[in-house]
Amino acid sequence: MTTGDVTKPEPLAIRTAQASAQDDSTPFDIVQEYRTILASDPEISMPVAAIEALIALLGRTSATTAMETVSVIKTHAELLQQAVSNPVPLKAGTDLFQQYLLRSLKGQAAAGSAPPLSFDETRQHLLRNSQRFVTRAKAARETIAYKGAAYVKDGSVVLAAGGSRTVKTLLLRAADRHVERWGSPRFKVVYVMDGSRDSVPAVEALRERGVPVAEIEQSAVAFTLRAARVDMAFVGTEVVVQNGGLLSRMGTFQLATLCQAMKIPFYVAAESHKIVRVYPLSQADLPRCGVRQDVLEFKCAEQQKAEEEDSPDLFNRSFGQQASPIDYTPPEFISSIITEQGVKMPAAVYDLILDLYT
Amino acid sequence: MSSKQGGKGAGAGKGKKGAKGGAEEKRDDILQAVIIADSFQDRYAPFSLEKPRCLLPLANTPMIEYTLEFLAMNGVQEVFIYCSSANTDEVEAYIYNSSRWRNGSKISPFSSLEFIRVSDARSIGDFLRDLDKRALISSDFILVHGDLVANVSLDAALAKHRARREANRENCMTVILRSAGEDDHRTKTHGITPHFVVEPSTTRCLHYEETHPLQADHYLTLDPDILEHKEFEIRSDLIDCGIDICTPDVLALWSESFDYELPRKNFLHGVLKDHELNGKFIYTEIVDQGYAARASNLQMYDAISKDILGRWTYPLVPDSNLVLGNSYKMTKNGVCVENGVVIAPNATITESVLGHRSSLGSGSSVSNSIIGDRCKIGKNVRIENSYIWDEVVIEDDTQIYHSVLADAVRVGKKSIIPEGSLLSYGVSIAPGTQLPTDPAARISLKQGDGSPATDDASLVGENGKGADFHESASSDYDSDSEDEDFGTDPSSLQKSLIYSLEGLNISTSSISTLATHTSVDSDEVESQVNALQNADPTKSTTATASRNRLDSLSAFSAFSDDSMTGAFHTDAVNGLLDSLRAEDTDDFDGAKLEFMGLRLANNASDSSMRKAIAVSFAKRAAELTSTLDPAKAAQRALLDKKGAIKFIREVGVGGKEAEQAEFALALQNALVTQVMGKTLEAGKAGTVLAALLQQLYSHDVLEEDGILAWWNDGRAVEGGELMATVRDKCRVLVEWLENADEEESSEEESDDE
Amino acid sequence: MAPLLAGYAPNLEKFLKTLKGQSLEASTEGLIALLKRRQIRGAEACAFATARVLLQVVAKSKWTDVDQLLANVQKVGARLTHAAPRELVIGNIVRRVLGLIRDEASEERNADNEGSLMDSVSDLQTLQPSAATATSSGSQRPGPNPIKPTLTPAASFVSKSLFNLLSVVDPAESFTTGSPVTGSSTPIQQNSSATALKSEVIDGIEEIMDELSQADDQIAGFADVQIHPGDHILAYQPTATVEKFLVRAASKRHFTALIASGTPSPKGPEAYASLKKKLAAAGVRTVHVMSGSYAAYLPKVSKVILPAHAVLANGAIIADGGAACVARAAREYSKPVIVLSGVYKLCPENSSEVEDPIELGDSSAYVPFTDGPLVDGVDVESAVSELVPADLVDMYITNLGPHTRDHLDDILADHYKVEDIDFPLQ
Repeated sequence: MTTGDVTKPEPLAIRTAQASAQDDSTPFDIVQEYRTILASDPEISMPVAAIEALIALLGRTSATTAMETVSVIKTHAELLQQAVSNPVPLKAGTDLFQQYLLRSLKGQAAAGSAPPLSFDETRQHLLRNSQRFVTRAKAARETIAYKGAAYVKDGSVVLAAGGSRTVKTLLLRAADRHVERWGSPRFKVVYVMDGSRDSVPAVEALRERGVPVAEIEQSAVAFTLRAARVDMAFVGTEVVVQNGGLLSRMGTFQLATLCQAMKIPFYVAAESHKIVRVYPLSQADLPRCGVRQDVLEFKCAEQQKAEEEDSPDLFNRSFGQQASPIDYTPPEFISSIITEQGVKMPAAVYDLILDLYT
Repeated sequence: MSSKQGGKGAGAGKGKKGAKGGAEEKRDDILQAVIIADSFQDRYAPFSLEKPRCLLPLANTPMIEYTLEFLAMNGVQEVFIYCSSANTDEVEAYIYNSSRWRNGSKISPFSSLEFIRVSDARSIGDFLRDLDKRALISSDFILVHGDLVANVSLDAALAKHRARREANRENCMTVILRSAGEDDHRTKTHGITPHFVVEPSTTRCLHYEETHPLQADHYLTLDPDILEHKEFEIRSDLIDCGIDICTPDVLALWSESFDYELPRKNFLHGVLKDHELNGKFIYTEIVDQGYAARASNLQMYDAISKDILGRWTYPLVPDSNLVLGNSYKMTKNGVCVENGVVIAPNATITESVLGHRSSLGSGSSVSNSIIGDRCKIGKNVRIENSYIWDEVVIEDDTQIYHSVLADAVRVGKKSIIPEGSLLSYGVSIAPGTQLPTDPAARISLKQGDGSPATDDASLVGENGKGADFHESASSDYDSDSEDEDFGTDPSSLQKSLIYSLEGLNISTSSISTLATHTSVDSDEVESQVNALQNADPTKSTTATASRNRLDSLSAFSAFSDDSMTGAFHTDAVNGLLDSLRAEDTDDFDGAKLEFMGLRLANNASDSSMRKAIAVSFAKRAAELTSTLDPAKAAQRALLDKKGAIKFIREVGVGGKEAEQAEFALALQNALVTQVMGKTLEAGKAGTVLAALLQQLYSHDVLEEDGILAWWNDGRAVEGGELMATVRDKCRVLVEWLENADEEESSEEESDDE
Repeated sequence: MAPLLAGYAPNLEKFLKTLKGQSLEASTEGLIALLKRRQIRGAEACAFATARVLLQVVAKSKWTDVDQLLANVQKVGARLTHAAPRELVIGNIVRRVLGLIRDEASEERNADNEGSLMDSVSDLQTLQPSAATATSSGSQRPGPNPIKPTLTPAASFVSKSLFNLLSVVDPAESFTTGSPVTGSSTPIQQNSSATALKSEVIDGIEEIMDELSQADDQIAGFADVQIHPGDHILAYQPTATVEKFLVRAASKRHFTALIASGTPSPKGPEAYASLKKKLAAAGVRTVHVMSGSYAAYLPKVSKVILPAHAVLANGAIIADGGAACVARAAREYSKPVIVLSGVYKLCPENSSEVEDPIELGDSSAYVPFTDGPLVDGVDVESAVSELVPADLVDMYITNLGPHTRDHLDDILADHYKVEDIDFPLQ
């Protein structure tokens, strides 16, 4: 992205307009805001959506002093996390946002940015450029794709899982590279269809580019890894946790385990803003991390009946589209994490976290 | 510390160096090299008609690049490139356009690179004699050919050579040879086997000889005093890569014997033979590391290409991208591809090279082949062991096996190009054509003499382009067709892509036009040979046996116009013919001198001289018949040059009845061959013969008895009825001889024939 | 003009000698040719030659501001890396030099705009292309430099900033394309500073060269810590580095060295004669293990030492052909595998990024060319170098000391700049 749109005043104008419009009328509903943002842009990822929501809030809040603002943000951030079954991705966003504010309070510059701004400046800056953060997030995705595409060699077979848009773009870039070099994509893709809504378009897009794609059930993974002589596996993730592990769509752990068993490199494509300060110790530890899902329900006949009575999909209704269950993939299963800031070993994630909170 | 690094560097760099070089350190002179960029051969016909050999692509790289790289690799500083006028321009242009090699170019590894053109050069010998005159060479220099592919390090050899030379000025030359084991080896030259007699203790080379399957026996004639050496090896397992390290004296040697033409067969053989005279020593350096070979003919081209694919020539492999602007990349299963190559997903390709922006259609398979730049290969095409140069178009469902397709060749759909086919520049094969297998086709747009060929639809199909390629008929059309590298007809064995002795009795690689035009089968050829062997009175001791056999062979092919014939014979005949043809002077002594020179150099037997002379005069006469009537022709041929008659009398015949008969027979044979060569029709031939004999008779070269002896000689009629018909024409003359005895009326006699 | 040392054939030593006289272009092409002909090969030689040529670039090429200099270095660097794509160290040295230049440059700037930065800065201004600022404000002092922080030694490989997303400046610029832009093309008006920079950089490069030449000794410095009395050390095709290491250890410790050679090298057992002599002199027993049979010795072996051509970001190493086999065998017997490598061999590339790390060499390494039937009958693939997967390596000893795999990231961070990671641009 060029510095051109940096100074573009529109976003500011619009936002403040909305802001002033609804200012004193309806109380600001962070969750609603979040949902609308998420819905408005299919490309947007949960952490970014959360950040956007908070920025909106920042525009609306009547709080004047810095401390006030921070606390307002804090409460809303928690509100937001309450509202979803799997708060961790949002936590990634909100934490990042809050830390950024705090920093500007402390007057220390965030590394990789310009000299420290005053709190007001920061506020201004955030409001003015909110739109720009979204684009940046997408740019990050492009960068990852660009880096990751280099991994896909001539004649290789790549396994991709889940509806990760990052992985999708990555594979499309790879296809482009091959077309440049060979005139046609010289690699095959095995796509694990885990029923996420994004995987179907991904497959279609790849096939459009002339990449041969095979769709398989999750149950067929082990078989396929061998049968198709898979060279490497790419997955996206919802978050990368403190120790370099993943919290991601159910099945990722399974896949990672299989890949390690079969000595197949297991690469994770994740924007750095998906890194979050959470430290799950095991699968069983997820609830502690705030993840609410009941995948494991041991039932006997009567519970079963009891459930029949009141509608079965209560669970889903309560948590909307956030319902897809997740699992935890420990770092030792991960070959490396491709971020827009370079390819990192899981161990390197901690440095980033450290930096965020010091 | 840089010195320390240097130590590492030396370790990291090529092995050989290290301790050697003690010698060099003293003299800080620069290394010179001479590249012979002109082969004077037509082994690469028909391709060499369009481009000089050293510019033909070997693994998509002009051969001379390899040679220059080799010199740079060995730290050569000054390079001289010799070309005959025939192709200097192209080569010079090529070098000039390469920013790397151009003389004075900033990035050139050489401090200087000069072209020397010798307009009237007719052999490599002429080059080196010229070089001697110019006195450009200050000290040791490396002599190589423009078709050399090598990665050997010369440091060791140079050091040894220098040491030897400092020990004794007479140690003038070191021949670099690559051992290739006893077994059959693709990279050994086929057809002609070089034999080096080497003294292992000193690596001194004692004798050099070439043998070939066509010779009746496989004896080497060893100079008896070789046997005086305590031990010596006769090595036939060597690849002669034509790299010589020479002192300037070598050039002097060349100059001394003006008739040397070939570095090996003439020079090496000669110098070693006359060791007592010149007192020079020649040594061999037999390397068993690294690679060195000459792409001296298509079979070697084939072999070396395979060696490059097999990375035996490493680092001289495509993906080293030694040529500026190349960007080959090694990919799976031994495939090297340039940028912009388009390979359909389901095309299979193994052990091959694909040039810049070439495309390979779906379902096609390529193996062990080299494909040049911008080639378009359609769907379901099958290419094996083939060499396909630039901008070739191959349409769908075509199959190509072990062939060479030059630039801009076009092969239509569903065609089949079988083993050994050679398709020269711009040839186009119509769809659905199957080229002949036996003999494999050599198709070109040009004929041997460079004249455009008329498309032969029966061969290349409807509206295809090109026709079967014939050697040039005239022996003096250009430097290419004479001065053969290996003077005996086996060079024909090296003209095909695939070496085969079966190929002997088929036209493309035939022994002579004799076979080409009257597709005689081998045993008839044999009969000819025998006829001629009987033809010379052989006082046969084993020592001279092979000598004579060779004579008979060369003599036999001497009757063909074919360019490749016995060294002495060709040279003699050409020499004489030239002087006979010469318009300006009518003096014959020069020719005579040269002839005697040749005779001594090759210590040719009387019979072979006799044949040479007979053939040349017969040829001359035959030529003249095109303009004059036979009688006149004969007269001109013999009398134009003064001294010619005398020459024939003394040298050509120089004897009584028997010899005269021989000479007459030789004439007859020569003329018969002319007839077979389609340069003369039978009827005429007879008349010419008659006229010739009559003339010779009237100038007392042949006597009555001589002619009659010939007339009654059985050999005059055997060997094809042609002989008989020709002979018959002389009946009148003979009858007349038998009864008449006064000469006056002879003129009329001949006139009213 | 090339002075005659041992023989005529050029090599690193001769090449370095010619440098002075030659034009930059000549020396660059000269090196390229040598690299392509493998007359300069091996990490040490390549690295050193590269450094020397880049020195020439800084000294001789035309440049008036930092960006031009960077561009020049990158241009030459790219050509060198393409000449020998498998000698990854070349890329590393180029990155090092680039980083060096950026550092020096930023220091220059800081010197230029003392303090003048903070006060008048509003983010609006910050967000403007600073060049504009520089010109508009007509003053000598250039505008604030957006990505200065990444230039300061502090923040480097990992520009430790999850904040990039929110930060004022655009992180994207710095890495989406590994482009040379330093963000601000601050023309150095005063020639003085240009020359100052030049000399600074040249000193820097010389330091790098010293590092190269000292690396082996420094590594050897850790020998006695790693090798214990009574150890059986298996060294696979020992290079100069390993040689020093063992010899140093031998001076202090009494152990047994098993020297394994993979390819049936024509030299055979004589191959490492000098090393054996030195070790024997120090009273260390050496056993020469011919290709393959080392597995038999492994039960006795206490450590396996591998020399590396290059160490990749994820810990995989590129080593002599056959090394992976040794490493795997060692893993089977759970013997520690130690890799010796100067820091300069540590590449930011990941093993999967490296375009086909395996180099196929001269077939005659395995089959004698004199064996006609074999030459014609079989396809020989002799791997000069191959990839040893990260999980087979237990420890890396660089001139900075012993490291674990996870530590490599930090070392990279300290030696390369984010902007240069993607060099050379594909």
